[in-house]
Amino acid sequence: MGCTVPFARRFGPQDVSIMNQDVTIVMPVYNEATIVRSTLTHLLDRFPRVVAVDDGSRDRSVLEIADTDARLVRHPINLGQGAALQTGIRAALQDPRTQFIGLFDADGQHNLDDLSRMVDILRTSTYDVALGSRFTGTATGLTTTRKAMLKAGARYLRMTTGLPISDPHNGLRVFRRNAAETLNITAPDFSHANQILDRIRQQKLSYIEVPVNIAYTEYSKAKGQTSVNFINITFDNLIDRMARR
Amino acid sequence: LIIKFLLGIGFVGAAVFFLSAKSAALLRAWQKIGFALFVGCALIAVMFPNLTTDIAEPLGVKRGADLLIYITAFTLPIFGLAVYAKFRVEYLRMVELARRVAFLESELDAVRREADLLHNEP
Repeated sequence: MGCTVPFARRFGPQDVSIMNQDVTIVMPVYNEATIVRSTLTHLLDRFPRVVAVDDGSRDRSVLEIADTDARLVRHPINLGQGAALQTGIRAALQDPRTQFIGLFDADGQHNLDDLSRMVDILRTSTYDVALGSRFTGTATGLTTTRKAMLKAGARYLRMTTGLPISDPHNGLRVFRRNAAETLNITAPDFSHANQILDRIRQQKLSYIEVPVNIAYTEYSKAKGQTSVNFINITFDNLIDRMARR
Repeated sequence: LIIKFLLGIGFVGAAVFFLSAKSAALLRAWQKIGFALFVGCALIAVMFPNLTTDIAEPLGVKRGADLLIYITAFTLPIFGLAVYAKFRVEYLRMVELARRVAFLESELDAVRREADLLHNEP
């Protein structure tokens, strides 16, 4: 049997935060068999609590995740990234030790140092949410078309939510527990980004944009959303807004 | 034109209703009322074609045929929205169901792992 003494009693509250025992990272996974194990291994080195939500992958992603120490939650069918994130957030909230929830992509484009910095910012401040921004930070390998689409999407969101966010579709985000509890993402696919900002506005959550580095590789570019998907995102967001009136 | 005002208000009202209706029973009931009205009007229009012109004129539409085109153009998007609203509700139900299955499987895996650990203990 393993040691049954609670972690905080063995190491003390300070160490709990140092070793990120109060953080759960949520990683949505869909057909990422070639890279998910490596991303998880690096992530688990620094954040011991990771929930990997497999969104009905048709490849070996589930087996790759099962070989790591991450908690695997497996959707029986593909439901979309928004649903996978909400499943992961709910799983993270089941653990009472979780005080911060980070969202991290499986395709390896996010930077661990950025994630640690965002967690530290929330720990040492009163902000509810930390949002990564590649436009105040750096984005290597970002194509001109995608950059233009992202900027157009950001402008649309600034207009509709009134929040001066520079990079609303950046998947690297960290939430304080109380903020995560109010999220309830129902938007399908990638339109969850718009819904998260709507929730921040509705719940009057305090947020900070943190400059981050996004490294686009050929793999992440092939896996990422297509530019035309912004039409779907905008439509879904408009319907979501109407539906809440 | 009076008809433009009526159809515009009707379209926005129906869109908001179908997308924000909280009661599934209410939504289904109005879909059935709408369908019955549509079928009833279609029958009357076929049996009494001159009646459509009589109704059209006070609404500012010259011909009965034009009125029918307006109403058809109005009805089709409403029908589309009603179907979209239905799919949306079903999607959210399916997500919740799949999520519960996912959590049950995850908890079952944890129990299995624990049992394996105990079993392999010297």
